[in-house]
Amino acid sequence: MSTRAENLKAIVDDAWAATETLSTCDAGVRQAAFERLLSHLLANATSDGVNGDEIARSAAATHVPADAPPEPIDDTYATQEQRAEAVSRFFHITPEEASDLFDLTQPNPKLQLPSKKLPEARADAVRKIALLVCGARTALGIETGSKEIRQAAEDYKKYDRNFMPVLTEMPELAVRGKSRSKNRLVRMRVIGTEEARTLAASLVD
Amino acid sequence: MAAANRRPALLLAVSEMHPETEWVHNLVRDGHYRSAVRDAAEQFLVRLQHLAEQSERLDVQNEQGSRLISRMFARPDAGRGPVLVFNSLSTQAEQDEHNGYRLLALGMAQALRNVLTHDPQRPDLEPDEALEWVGFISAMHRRLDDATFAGPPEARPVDLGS
Repeated sequence: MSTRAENLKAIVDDAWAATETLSTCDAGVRQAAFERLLSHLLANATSDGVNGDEIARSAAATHVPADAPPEPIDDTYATQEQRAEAVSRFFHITPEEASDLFDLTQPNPKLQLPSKKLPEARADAVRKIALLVCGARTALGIETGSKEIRQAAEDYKKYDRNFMPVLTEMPELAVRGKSRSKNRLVRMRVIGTEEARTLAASLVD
Repeated sequence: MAAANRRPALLLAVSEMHPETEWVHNLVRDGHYRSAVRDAAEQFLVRLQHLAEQSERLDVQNEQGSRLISRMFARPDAGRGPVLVFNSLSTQAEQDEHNGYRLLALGMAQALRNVLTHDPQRPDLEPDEALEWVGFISAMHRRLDDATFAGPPEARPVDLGS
């Protein structure tokens, strides 16, 4: 008899022996148990043949408890490289290009785009600044307040009293909180992320 | 009437649907109704995958299908919470709405995309039915357009004060 046939016979014998203890049960029950055990043993058998101990070891090695805690994932973006990677992923640009657009040496990203790349008109410039600032912060999991965007607009001398109306009318952003608040929560809409990618691509050309 | 002999009366409407579904126009026009719905549903998942890659949440970036949807639109009190939200989740009604869209997206993946991909024995869709499903997926894309990134779980209150 070949080794393979011997192994198969051994598996069948094991299954039969295991179900012998059910001899007092109904024959149908014993047959069902035998069939299920046999298919389990065959499913776990290797071409070299296995015995019960090997099956038990194999099962223990491959079994993952349902309540196993997930692998810890480091998405704290603690280093400049991690931040550049995250921002580049968001804007679909390279990490080097992300580091050109933003100062990522600190946890809070700072826009460092050359001012000549922004439109002359303040409203247009504010829209672009808002997309970039909110996009970078979203990429890093940091909430954006309107004051962060306002600060960037002031840095580029694009801030004026129409700042908030421009911001709240942007379809790419959701501005939440009380309208009289000086620091409202700004969140990127999905449609804004796609717009932000287009903008970033045009700026790094 | 056999499906092949019927042409949807609202063919023009497909071209006016969300840009993410516009491209299935040709499939509908050529009578590939099953493929049109399947591909439109698949495209929704592809778009969601791209958004997962953009997010700061590394735990969602390799997910696919129903697991991806469940994590991206998770209930606010589940695990790390959602990546994308359909509103500010500030009231029970808003949380219910968010949960409803999550279930609609799951239904689209499980009842449309999975079935049309893995069950070749299923008969082709009727033209009108195909159009209606593409319209549904278009509506889901429009709703997704307006969804926002949820921010960190310990997000600041909506009114940040002055």
